[in-house]
Amino acid sequence: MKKQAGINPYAMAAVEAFGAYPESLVNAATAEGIELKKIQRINTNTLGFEAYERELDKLKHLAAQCSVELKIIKYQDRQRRMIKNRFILLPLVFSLLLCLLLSSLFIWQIDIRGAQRLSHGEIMRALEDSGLDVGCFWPGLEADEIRSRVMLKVPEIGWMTVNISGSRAVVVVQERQEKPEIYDESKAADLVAGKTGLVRRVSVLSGNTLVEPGQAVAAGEMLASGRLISIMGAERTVRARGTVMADTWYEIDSVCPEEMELKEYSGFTRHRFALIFGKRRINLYISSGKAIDECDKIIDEYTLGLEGHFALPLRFVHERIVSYDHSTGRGFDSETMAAQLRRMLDEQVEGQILQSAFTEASADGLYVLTLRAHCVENIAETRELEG
Amino acid sequence: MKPIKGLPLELAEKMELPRELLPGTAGISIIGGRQACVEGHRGILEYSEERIVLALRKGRIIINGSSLKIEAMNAGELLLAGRIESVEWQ
Repeated sequence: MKKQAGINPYAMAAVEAFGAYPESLVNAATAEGIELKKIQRINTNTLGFEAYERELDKLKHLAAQCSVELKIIKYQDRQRRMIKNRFILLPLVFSLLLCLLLSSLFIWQIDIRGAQRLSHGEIMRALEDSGLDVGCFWPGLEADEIRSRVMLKVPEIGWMTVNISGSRAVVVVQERQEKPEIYDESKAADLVAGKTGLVRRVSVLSGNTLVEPGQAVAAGEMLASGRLISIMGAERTVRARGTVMADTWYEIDSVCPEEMELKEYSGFTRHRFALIFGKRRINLYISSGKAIDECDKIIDEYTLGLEGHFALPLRFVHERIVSYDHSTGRGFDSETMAAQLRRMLDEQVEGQILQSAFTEASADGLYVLTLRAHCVENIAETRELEG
Repeated sequence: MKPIKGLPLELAEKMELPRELLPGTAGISIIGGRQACVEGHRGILEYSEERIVLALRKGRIIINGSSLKIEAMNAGELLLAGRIESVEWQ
């Protein structure tokens, strides 16, 4: 058997046997161990069948012995086809790689990190005004220039940097810290009570102490004076400093209507899809208007690319429109309200919470949750003297 | 157990020997009237879409039907497909 380079040994060929008795070739071939497939009668004197290409030489020899004419109709060499198709695929693959390479020269995704008080929208607007936007050609950008422009537009940014990796831009932002209050040591001041309480402990470092433990003080009452009168009668002023620990009591209410309108999802959901190429959006649905009056729209966006490395200029958008009905029911969660009250108390108290308790009440269709707390904290505040 | 050549089929049946011990014994399996597998044939005697005649070691087998075609064939087995109406042993 002559082997041809690059030919699949299991390739089949379609042949036709023509003669007075073509069945004799089929019988002789099978007797010699040649496997035949799809034997069919073409006409009275012709049989068509498929045989392995590697056995064609043997078949030709047998055909001569059986006085049958053998004609090869078609080679079904899949490997030859595969090799041919591969040459067609190569330019496609090359074009795809070229497109990928060219697309990596443009920014298709901008990630903002580090922003806590500033919104991403505000930073994105500033970046857009400074030249960094989705679809921009990043080799033409200067990171220092963008940084300077953005920090001028958004004064709350203390520091920022722009890192570009492939088609992704990562903007790291550090917000400006609030400057702490710096007081002038030379300015005279009194210590006054910031809150109403029962004095527990007084510790005045400078100034004239005016309260003692066990005394009740109201908010605004002076605790230590910055005016000192010497033995000789001369008056001098100092900046009163110290701490006055006092027992304080808090009462914070949270009010919520007992019955309110709630959303009840009906279960009907409509799905819509869209593609965003760069900045251009292609809707994959006909009607863009909201068909249902009362519904929520949930939008999921998926970016094509390798997470953390590069992003393609194609985003897939999935919109879910979920309809709901109105119903009346209990619209509050007492646990959430209690947690909120607790958080408010923690923000107000500058010391320790000794005891706290919640009480509930209902009146006129309202639910009232009250937090009462007994705390110990420093109530002294500095108030500068006038004149 | 080695196959036993030359043992008459009738004797083998009386001794209740398994068929695998008798090589060359012709057999036909028909599946759903649409496919048939013939074992132990000795070649095609006649082939048309309505009638296929196969030679056996002793005798021949005739398969009648319509749209008959041989899907695959080797030295001892043959697979045919089509609408099988009748099978005759001669």
